[in-house]
Amino acid sequence: MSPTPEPLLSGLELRKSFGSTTALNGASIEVRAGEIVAVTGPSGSGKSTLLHCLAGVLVPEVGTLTYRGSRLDHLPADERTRLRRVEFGLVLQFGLLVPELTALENVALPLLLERRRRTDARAAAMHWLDRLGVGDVAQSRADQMSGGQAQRVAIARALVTGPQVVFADEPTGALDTLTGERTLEVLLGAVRETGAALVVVTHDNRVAAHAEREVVLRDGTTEHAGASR
Amino acid sequence: MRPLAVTLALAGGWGRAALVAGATALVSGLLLVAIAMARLWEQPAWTGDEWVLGAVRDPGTRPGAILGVLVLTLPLVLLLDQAVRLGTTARRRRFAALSVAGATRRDLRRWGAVEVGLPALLGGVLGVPVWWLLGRIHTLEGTTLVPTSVGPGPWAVVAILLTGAYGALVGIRLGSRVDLDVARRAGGDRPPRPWSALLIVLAPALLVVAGDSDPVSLAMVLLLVAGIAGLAPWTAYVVARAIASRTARPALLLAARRLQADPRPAGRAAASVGAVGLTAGVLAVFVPDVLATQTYDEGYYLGPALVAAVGAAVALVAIAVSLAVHLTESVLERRREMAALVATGVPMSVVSESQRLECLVSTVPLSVVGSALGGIGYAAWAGGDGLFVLPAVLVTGAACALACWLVSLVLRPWLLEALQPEHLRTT
Repeated sequence: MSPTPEPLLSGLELRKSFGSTTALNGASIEVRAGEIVAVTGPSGSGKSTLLHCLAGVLVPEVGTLTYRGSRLDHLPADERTRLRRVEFGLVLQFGLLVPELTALENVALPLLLERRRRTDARAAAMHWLDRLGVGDVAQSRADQMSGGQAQRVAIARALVTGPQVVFADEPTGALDTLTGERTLEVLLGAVRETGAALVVVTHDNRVAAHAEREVVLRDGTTEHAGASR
Repeated sequence: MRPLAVTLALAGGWGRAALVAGATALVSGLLLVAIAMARLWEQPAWTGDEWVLGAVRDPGTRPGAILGVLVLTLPLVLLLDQAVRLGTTARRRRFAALSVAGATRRDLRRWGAVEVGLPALLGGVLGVPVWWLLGRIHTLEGTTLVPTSVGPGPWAVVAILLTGAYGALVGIRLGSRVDLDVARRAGGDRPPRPWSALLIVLAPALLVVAGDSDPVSLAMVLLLVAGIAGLAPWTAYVVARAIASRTARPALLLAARRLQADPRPAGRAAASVGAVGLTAGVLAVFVPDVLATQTYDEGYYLGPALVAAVGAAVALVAIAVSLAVHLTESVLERRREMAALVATGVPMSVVSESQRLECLVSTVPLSVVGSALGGIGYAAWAGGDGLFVLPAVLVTGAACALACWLVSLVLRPWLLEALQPEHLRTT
């Protein structure tokens, strides 16, 4: 029997509060390379806060965050920002693209920030838009796209830098059932193809069913962590 | 119990009410100064009590001085306009909720009029102390900027009521624009058109057709100022579009696309930059000409030139405040998108730089157009030397850049607050 591989990313005994509200109260999670992990739980259980901590958007007050063996929570804000841009990909609810930029510019932006040439960045962005089936809206602004299209563009933006981990916060939460299923297929297909790990926060059992492991949160603590139920 | 209209007016926040009252007070104060200047014609040809600046005392140059004061109100009216628009999204939501709860269009218009009209009327009254304070300023020669032998008299009431009525009208317009679709799509409006360029073309045409006289010269200046100010949103749009299609710099791309999507608010805030540029361009020809040709009467000409330069600097400050108000509003309205930018790996420094660049793109091209037009136009009209026009263009551009840098410094606390990840969860 082969030994369990070391986790790529882990959060142990994480605590995070917003004012008097405790969002995380000792939650733990481990993510291995190429693994799909679903984070589920009722509203207000701390799912999004956990995801934001793992992605280095938020820093927990207590607990340890480790990525590739190094403390993520000890990194300065600038380095965490760069990590999110290069090593991680983030897909948020509603896509949350920059509304004034075209789809192509939204996807090319992380590459431009990495000082890639404009033509190269646009070519790579176009490649991902075509791959995710939204090449036809490349010149449309975010506010001119449907919810499903915007979410696919957000997935392209998350994958364009070749990340090791993709974080998705309720990626289908704002979409109708059919569009949601299609978007999920696209997301899962893309991460499997690239070999990236996926951490997906969801209310939807159908989304969780695609995960290899599930972490269930309740009141900011881990209630269950194991094979998808 | 407080009337509902007052409760709703205060829901807009004290800060906005104070800004509206402050801007209106300055506009009203300047109007009172202009009225007092105009009432000098009612005085005998010479009164020993009169210590006002020569250019105001001289009936020949007085219309120009009055026009200068009125032009100076332009950036302040635009600041007032910007202040009125503060909290537009929150107000739309509030009015939409009231509309759902049964408020009629008439109610909304009335509440809008009270919300803006009350602080505007207060500002109008506060214009009296502003006028009094301006009257205490003396030039180096010991003369005043405001007439000493005559005040605005009963016309003050008219000026105060006019500024209050303007505020009420803007408020009524706010109340009329309520719709239930509060999530207005960015860039849904048509791009601005350069129709006001016709006014700039009309200015020299007027000179050719009507001949050179004082009223024609004043009308020409008015046409030029209105033309350049009206061009501001179009200039911002065209420059932003050209930059966005070429740049590989993320901050510049964000700034240019933002400006291209919604050029009117920033364009409006920066509109009077053209007038400031125009003044700088004219002074760049006028002052060297005076120094070269006048031996004994330099002070008579240079005094008003100095006042005009100070007026341009004051206008630039008003423009900077106006842009700061617009950019702060823009940041606060888009907190979620801004927080998402940083969450997806865009450094805060890039977002901050994009705000500064948005300010630069909306002001610098207009300042260049204004100062070049003012300098070259005045040199051609008065037969002066255009040697200092280029330095004037550069200095005005640099002043705009400095103003934008200061605006971005002022904006920084709001920007940092808007970029916090907590806003990812707010709608």
